[in-house]
Amino acid sequence: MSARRTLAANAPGRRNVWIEVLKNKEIYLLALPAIAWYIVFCYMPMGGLTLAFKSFKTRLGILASPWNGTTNFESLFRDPAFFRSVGITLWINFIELLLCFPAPILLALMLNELRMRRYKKLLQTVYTFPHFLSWVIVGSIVKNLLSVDGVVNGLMAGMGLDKVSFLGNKDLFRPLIYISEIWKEAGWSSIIYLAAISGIDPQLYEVAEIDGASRFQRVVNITLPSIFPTIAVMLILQMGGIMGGHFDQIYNLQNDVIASSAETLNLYIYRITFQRTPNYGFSTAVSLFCSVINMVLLMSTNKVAERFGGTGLMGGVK
Amino acid sequence: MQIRRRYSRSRLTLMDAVVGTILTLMALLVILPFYNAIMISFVTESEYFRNPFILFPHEPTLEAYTTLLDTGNILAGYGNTLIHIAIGLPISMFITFALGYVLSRPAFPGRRFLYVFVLITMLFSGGMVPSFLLIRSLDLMNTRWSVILSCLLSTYYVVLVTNFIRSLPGSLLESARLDGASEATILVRIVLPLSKPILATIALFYAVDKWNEWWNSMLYINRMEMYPLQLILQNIINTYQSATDRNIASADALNRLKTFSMGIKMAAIVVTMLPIMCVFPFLQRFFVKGIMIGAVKG
Amino acid sequence: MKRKNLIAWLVALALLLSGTALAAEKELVVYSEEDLARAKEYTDTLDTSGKTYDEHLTIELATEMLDATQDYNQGSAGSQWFTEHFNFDFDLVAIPDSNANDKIRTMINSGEVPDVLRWNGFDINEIISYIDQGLFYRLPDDWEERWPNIAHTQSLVPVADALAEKVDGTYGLFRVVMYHYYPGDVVVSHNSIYIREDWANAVGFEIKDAYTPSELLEYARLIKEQDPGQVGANLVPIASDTGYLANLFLGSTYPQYNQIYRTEDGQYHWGFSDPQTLEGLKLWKEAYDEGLISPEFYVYSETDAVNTFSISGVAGAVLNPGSVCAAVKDGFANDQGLDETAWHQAAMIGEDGYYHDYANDNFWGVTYFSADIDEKVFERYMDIVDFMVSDNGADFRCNGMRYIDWDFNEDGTRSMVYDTSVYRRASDSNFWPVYTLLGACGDDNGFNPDPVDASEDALFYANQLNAVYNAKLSRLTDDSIIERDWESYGFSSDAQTALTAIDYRTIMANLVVGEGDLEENWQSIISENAYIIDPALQELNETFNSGAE
Repeated sequence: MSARRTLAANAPGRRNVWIEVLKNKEIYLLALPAIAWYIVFCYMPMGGLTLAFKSFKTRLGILASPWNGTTNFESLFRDPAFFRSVGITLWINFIELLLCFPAPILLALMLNELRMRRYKKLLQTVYTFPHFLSWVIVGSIVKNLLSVDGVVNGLMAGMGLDKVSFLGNKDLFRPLIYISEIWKEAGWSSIIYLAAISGIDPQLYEVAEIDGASRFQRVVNITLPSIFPTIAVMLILQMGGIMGGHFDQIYNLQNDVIASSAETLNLYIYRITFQRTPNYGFSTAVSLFCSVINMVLLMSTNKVAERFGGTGLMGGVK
Repeated sequence: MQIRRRYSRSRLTLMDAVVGTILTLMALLVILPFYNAIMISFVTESEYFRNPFILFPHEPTLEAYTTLLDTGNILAGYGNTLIHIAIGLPISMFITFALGYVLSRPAFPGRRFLYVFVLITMLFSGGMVPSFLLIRSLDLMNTRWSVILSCLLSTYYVVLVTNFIRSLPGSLLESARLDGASEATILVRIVLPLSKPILATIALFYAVDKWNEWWNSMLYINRMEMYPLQLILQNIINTYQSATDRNIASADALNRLKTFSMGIKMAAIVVTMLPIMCVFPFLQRFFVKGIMIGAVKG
Repeated sequence: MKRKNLIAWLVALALLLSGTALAAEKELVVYSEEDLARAKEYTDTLDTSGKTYDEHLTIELATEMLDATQDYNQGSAGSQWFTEHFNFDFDLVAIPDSNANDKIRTMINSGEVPDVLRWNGFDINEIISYIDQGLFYRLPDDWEERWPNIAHTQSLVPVADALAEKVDGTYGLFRVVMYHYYPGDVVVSHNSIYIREDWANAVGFEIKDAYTPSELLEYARLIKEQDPGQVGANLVPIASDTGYLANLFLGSTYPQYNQIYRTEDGQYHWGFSDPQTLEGLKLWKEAYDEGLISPEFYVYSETDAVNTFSISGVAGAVLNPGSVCAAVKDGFANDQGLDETAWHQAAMIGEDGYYHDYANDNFWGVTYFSADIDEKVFERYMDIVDFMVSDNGADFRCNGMRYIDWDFNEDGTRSMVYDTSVYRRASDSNFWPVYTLLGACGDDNGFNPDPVDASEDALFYANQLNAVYNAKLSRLTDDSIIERDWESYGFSSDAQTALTAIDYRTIMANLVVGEGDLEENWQSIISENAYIIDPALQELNETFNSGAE
């Protein structure tokens, strides 16, 4: 927030804006490559979203393709698979928020309570490692573990249990998504919380200890509230992905049986774009729809967070 | 760090035991699947079918690796990925730091606009098809640049860099400015030397992202000899699942069918994660530090 | 820390280098100069077109089923002759098998169609939409006269005509499957059932040349009960993936199960909603519930399925193309130490004891040309393929080159002389795509009554294929081969395109695995998809039956 104060103090008057600009020309020069990149690779595709109102012809390109009004959206809203995938995406992401979001926080709290420093470092390395592997790898390791003739079923058979089809059971597939997500990402995400924890004033703990608070009480009453702002920011970021996510994961784990019940929006877009006679206008209409919903959701979460006293995601802007 | 000292003075409690056990079990849960995958890549099919959980191979064989390296195209994939990193990483780092530094500057006209301009891309994107058509209209299809440029910049990392630079003592930068140093000089002479942790962190992040990249390559590159490692890997994993030409009667044509597919898949996985496995533990301390400083303020 | 860091890098580097070394060990086959020269000289005489090629051209060819690490231009004597004689090089674009259709669609829609594009997938509506957008090259009107051998192969593929009529011109060349040696009047598919003959004998199951689904289930029950192979918990009585199981339980009896078809009164129907489909699904579910098929058949790939049968030996039966017999034989011999008496290959027939199928399209893969292809490149390509599908070319493709692969005997007959320990075969399978992907498949050589390759193996495969084929041909009735409805074929509209959204594999796998009453679930699938099916059917009935009403 120091930035904000300095900004206010130095705020240039309207008249000498150009003088200021000139004074800062090097700044703009430094930002130029990045700005150019953003314009070409982020903003120009956004312009391409006009395709959502066009009927795309390959040889004509985006600009010359004929407009077709809201035809793409009409067929979109007629497609039950679209609504199904919206529902699945929201549901999966919602449960993920409940289950996967707290996991790294718990992990960080536990790691923080571990007293052997070297062992803690080692564990942290182990937990973080899967984050750096692609879902191609993690997916096939998971499949290898959980298939009917895989390791887990082998062990279960050894214990005299019946074989379970983990991969093809619709009821088990979603838990599988959450568990593999936690398995891959929890260690990584916990770093941020550990960072926040390390910033807590140690005196708080000393005072609490003198007051006779148990370790568990200290965790609940000091550590957790102290990292709450970090949690809030991470939560907002998570909300930003509420309409997306999980493409790589599900793409690499799915099969015929769960295909329809695990088709998130991303997979839906992929399917309609590449796995049948393509209609690029239609695909773009879906993308546009998602982006808009996503933005609305994120903005509202941000507003709520700001109202509750957090800095919100745009804190840095002001 | 004081906390830890205080804690270690007190005696071991039930909580220590519980936490230690849980954390150790979880670490085992992370390690064992990898261990098993590595072991599977060294065994024969019959041994795998006898028991898919392999603690130690009884008759270790390198067959999966020879087959993989013989037909899998995996070395070309390695090469391509390394090229993507070698070209892309310096550019990414330069642009990210330049922008991160600019955004960390307290006051200049248009700063707020720039921030919004950058952050909006985290919320709103053109999506798959427009991006694809853009690459096509830029005439980048089928070139390495399509992939390198598409994943050049990550807004999230820019934010991390900005936060880090902001946390640096401002007086140092100010005095340099008063001495008449140009912005580029300040960035190179003062900011960069102080930013080693975040520099290492961001470099690692970008490198890993580029190492794991497959989506843009799948869309933009048609030639298999230009495929990056992950795409080759995906291909190996899926090819050995999919049908060969069902009408060919030739005996040799179906030789591919015979290979022990699980072993090859796992061998491909091992080969792909090997560099990360080797390098990662030694870089861990860098990025933990970097992400701590960068993220706490975020 | 620094030193450890260095060590890590060194370890990684060493591993990489050893990997490279392993890869470099790939054996190189060198032909003797003399053999190669006379082989090429003789093969030159096979091309009787009299054309010469002075200008060296590069032909960009994109296709599936390539191994990008192989040198298809110079890898075998055959490839060498081929590229020298026609004075060209292939610039090959290997399309990954795993997502070939996605990849090819991306190429086409990005306007990046290579000079020559070969695609296994074929959806007539989709192709017509690309042709309408001007993305493919239209063959010159006189192509049939200029390349008569190709024209002959195209005349054997009914779809080729239908497409040419729809789009008014020839845009695609179909790679014909059967064109030299027909075992019968009708072309049928190669699909076969492989069962364990030793196990069947042990449980007293009759060995026949064809089985119905129920008979196969009976076999599966017997081996599940008695486990003659002592496999235990890993036993999978019938190991196959969703596609082949659908073929077994539904397609073998009622091929219309996933089709829109036309009845004799001219009306269009959706096969999936017919009671025969339900019967098949019931049988399938029965097999699943009893544990006669793999509990995870939907995760299986074709390769996995065959491997469980031929390599790991835990499966009692597998469904696969007839040509897989070669891989099965190898697997049994090498991995299980069993000879060909241990397994048996039979035809898959319908519940009624007859063979049922759609009339075979007789092609596998279609070649298209870029709209911007250079005329010269196109002509050279056509010359090459025209030779490849000529009688001489077919012989070259299937039997290889004289002096290297075969030679004349004193009595004028031919026999194979190749010795793989000395030479790589001229028609080495590693390079088969570039030969056989052009113009025609090598399948029908398997039916050659008097093969040049009279080795034990080759004859064995030919016998197997012929047996399955004849088992099917001897079980035909008047209506067991269903003709396509050419009138509506390729009829394109939004409603018809929407039909491609129905994913039968997912639907069927869910019905079989899912809980609850199968018939109810099936009914609800039908009503769920009514919004796609009804408009499509209505449109067809209105368009093609307006006169009848």
